[in-house]
Amino acid sequence: MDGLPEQFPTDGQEAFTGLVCPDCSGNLVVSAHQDHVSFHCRVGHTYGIVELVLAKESALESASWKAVFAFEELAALLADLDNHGLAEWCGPDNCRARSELAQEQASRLRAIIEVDRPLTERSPGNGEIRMGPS
Amino acid sequence: MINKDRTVRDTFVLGASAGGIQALTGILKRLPATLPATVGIVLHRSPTFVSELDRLLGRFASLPVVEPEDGDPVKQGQVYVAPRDHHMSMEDDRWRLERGPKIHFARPAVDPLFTSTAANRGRRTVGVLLSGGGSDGVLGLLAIKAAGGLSIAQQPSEAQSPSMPRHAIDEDHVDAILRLEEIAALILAVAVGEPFPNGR
Repeated sequence: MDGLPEQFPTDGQEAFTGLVCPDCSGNLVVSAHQDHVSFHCRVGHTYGIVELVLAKESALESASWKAVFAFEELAALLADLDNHGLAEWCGPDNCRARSELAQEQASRLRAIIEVDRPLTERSPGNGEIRMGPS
Repeated sequence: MINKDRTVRDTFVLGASAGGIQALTGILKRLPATLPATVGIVLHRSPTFVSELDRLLGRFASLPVVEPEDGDPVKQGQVYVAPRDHHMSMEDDRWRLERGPKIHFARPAVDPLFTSTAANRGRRTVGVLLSGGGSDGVLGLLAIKAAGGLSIAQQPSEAQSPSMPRHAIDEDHVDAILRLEEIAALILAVAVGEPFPNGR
């Protein structure tokens, strides 16, 4: 899977990336304007480098929590089906085993999220920037 | 020296995000009611919560501060603030308000104001990027410079959130990096076609 194009665009040019827009999932195009790099989709959602990376970090955490919730919901559903005697279609033992495994997977994912460390923008410092006479 | 050729630059567009209220009031309070120019402002703001940003900024300004309606003419001696949840741009000397796609996660975003003003007013335009996070406004500053206007960044050491002016400095090579009171002084000078010293 490619993120950025092998031939990175030069000033005034743009190229398709292998990435999708964090807002609408459309293909992202990367463009260069002098030293400024930006990404935009066909709709017009636009991001700088930092914004795109932070959006991807955010999307990753969001997707991870969705997975946690999906495992926990499945575990709860299967446990309740077993308790109500409604698990004959798969066998009560299989139902309990799958419920326990799903709960374990949810716990593992929670642990992964706990130790994950998303990137943040480095503090630029507070030094004064001076320009020469122009 | 900035504006050595003594061009009258009468359209000032200011962009800000986090820390922007302090920066904007620091400029507006220094501008007289007689300023022969138009000021357009985009401050990143909540699309959903109602705020009275125009009234808030108006308390610090001698110039009248309003949120324009779509199609309003662009007048001198006015400060226009982009309303929440709308991009504000200039088209044929009128304001356009649109709920277009979010740019840099923001609506209103700075780039539509800057790029459209550059297209509309050309070298009469001065773009100023103030305190904020992210890189909104950098593309707009490039457009302003390409149109013969001036691009200014707030001195990052003074900005509450220096990321936005820092991106402008790193990626746009702005015409000047100035403190708020210097930005106000530059506006007063170039609005009447005077040069402004930048040899700090």
